[in-house]
Amino acid sequence: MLRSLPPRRPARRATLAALVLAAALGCAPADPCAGDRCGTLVIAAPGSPASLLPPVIQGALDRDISDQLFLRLADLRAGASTIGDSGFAPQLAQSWRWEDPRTLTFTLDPRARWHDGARVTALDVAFTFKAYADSALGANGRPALARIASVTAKDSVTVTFAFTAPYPEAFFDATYHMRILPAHLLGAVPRAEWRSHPFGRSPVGNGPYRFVKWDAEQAVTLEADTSFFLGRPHLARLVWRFAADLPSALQQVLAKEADAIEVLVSPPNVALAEHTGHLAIHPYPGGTYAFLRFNTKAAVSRAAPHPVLADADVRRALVLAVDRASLAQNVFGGRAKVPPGPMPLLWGWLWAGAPPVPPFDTTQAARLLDAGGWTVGPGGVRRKGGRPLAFSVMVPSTSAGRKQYAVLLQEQLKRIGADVTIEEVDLPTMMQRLQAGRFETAIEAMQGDPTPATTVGPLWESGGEMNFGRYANPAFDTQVAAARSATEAAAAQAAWQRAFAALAADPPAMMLFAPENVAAIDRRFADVTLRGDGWLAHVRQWRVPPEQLTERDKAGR
Amino acid sequence: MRRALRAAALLLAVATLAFAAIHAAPGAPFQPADGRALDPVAAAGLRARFALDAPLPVQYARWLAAAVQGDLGESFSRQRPVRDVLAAALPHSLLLAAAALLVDLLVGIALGAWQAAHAGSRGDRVLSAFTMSVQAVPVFWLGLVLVLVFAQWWHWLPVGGATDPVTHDLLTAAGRWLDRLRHLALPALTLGLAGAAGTARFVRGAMRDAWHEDHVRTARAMGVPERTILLRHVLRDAWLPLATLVGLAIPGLIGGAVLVETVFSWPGIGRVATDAILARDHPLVVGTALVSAAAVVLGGLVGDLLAAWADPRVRRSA
Repeated sequence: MLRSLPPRRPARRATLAALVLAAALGCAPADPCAGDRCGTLVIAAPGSPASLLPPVIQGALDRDISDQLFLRLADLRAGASTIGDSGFAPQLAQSWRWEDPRTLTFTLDPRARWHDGARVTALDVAFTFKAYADSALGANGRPALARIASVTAKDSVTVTFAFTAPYPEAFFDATYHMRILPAHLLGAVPRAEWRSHPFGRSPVGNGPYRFVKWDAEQAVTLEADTSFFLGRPHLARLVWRFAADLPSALQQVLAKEADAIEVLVSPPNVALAEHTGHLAIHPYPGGTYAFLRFNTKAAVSRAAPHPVLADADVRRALVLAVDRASLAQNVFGGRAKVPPGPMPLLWGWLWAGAPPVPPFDTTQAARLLDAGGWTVGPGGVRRKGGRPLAFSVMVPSTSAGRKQYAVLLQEQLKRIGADVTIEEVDLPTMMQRLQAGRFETAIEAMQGDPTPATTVGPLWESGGEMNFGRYANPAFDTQVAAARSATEAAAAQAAWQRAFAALAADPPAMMLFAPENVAAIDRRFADVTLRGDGWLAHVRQWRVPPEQLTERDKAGR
Repeated sequence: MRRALRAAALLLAVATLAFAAIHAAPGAPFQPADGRALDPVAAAGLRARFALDAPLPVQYARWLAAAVQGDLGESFSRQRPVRDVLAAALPHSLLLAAAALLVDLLVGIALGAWQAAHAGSRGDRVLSAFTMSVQAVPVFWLGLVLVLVFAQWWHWLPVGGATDPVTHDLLTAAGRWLDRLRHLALPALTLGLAGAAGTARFVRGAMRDAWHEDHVRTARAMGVPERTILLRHVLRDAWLPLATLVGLAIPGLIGGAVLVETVFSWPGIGRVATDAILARDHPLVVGTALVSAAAVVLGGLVGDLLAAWADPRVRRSA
């Protein structure tokens, strides 16, 4: 039932003109769909995006799509260090040089174009910095820009970043958090209107794919920019199909109505995908880790210590009393590790030589509790001064994995005399209670970017904005400061590991799991590589060999 | 006129209750879905922009003043006007509701009428057991079974969505309709069959009652064929209560098809409402509640029109 679309007259004229020009130049015109440049990748995605304008996006799905539309100045190579600039590859910036330790100058690639044909200029970069730094927008990564004093356009292709002080991850901060925006299209729009501005629903970008259409609650379609200055993408079209939830998204992939899904999450889903035969399983380092956070302060009076959890020995005993390796095995079927500190698998460089995970040792746990005066009372629950060793675990009702963990923790902690109650709440309620300190313990998950410097401090440092448990450990704070100021990757690694050892000695949380992500992608796609901090970062290099093209790949071509 | 006033009062009451309920619910809006804490400065800016720090009566008065002019505010989670979000979702909900109602009535009346005509037979007993089973089965489970069989095993029908995002725009007009119908089939069947089971049981009972009416007995004594009695007299008598049932079913089909819309990723109002509640998206929650209330008004109107069409006495009294 596919209609053969007669080309409109202007298009026919344009084609004719192109043929004449090509003949005149003595070369053949590029076939819009030749060889391995015809593929269509349909991605099944749980949820629905809200905006594709990078500084106002909030969710991972929005980011996945807009990453294909908007480039950075430079991109971090997979697994490379965030210290210095040697791990980075040019994107919009063709080159860069350090004028001095506090001044970094980029030269833009003169071939870079916006999808409306305008050139990408240094003014766009300066404009972008101002937007990201504006607190009114609340852009992700804004706090990481605090040490950039100014961004100044020197000429149309030269832009200079001035830092308040030299520091090892200055280049990372200057490039990683910002996607360059079109000043000529957004400059006249007041930033207060960006959140809901129509540009966010039909953006004009500078990346390998250009925006085509957005069917509300259903799909977003992007098409390859055949003149993309860093090389034409192999896949001609990217389509995100939105599903109500993960099971519905998985169904689309299993039924061959979609080609890829970012994470399968649970072992049964992985088994289902493996069973189909048409899907290849792609494990890649996950950017998430989960932990049971202890609130060291009383939930009612935020100044008073928590009667049970303020005691570091009690926290240590609780950590020792849980067989976390078995839990990870049971829940993730070997696709998750117990992290020795607050670290996802994405930070592979930090796992090498990391301090060992405290062992599962109920004897030692009991000894610590006995020594602290927590004696076993009626019903097997320990008590001290009439107070039971009891607390609640807050867990989001939307996370099946974390709910499963809560039940298993309750069971294991019961064995050493801890009475744990489970509180299931929805995510907005959980976040509100965390921020207000109205919890005893909570199972949280944290998504990290490629460096610990962005997230570890806010979560666990004294006074950190996401340090909801009001934890304070000067030894840890000192090591974090040392890690942030280290100028060599090895020194930073050592300082982070010392910091995590300090956390293990006085745990603010029980680190539970760092899962490996597992994507399922149709086998007809070749050259598939996935990156932990953005699984589609290399999608423009994926391809479908001509002999494997399906009707969907060829539709409209 | 009285009916319009009643409808306006209902909409106002529902909007007020929804406004109060979502503001009273624990949990703050603007929370990133990935569990990050929102930048406190940005959160304060958003609260100021949407005037969330003003006293609740003030917020309500502002919302009401804008709403009467057709402005339902901006969705926190969708980042666009509530009116636009509803306008995109409503046609899908209406289409699904209409298709499901069609399935419900066609299947339900046919089964119920056949059972009434063959009451006490083995077929009647089997169908009674079947309709009771369908009623007992959760609607999402029925949907999942249909997906498994028709989409995953046999690949006859798509698993979800309202259209094919790759090929739909490339199809001819007829092809686009066919594409829509293919995507509509499973959700409409799921929702319609769940309703049809109840309708069949209702029709059977109503027709059995009508079977013993004086005018039916008279017709039979006059030698009117059974088929004519069934269609002209018994079914017509049963139609009046059925019309009321249809009116009552409409709101549930438009605003309450949450589970079916979730299973089939159908982009309707139910899914939008669920997402809005989970995101504490105050304006969108109130907007979807208004749509549901409007569906109740519409359902009542449709029910009354059908009853009037079926029974001249109702027409005269109206």
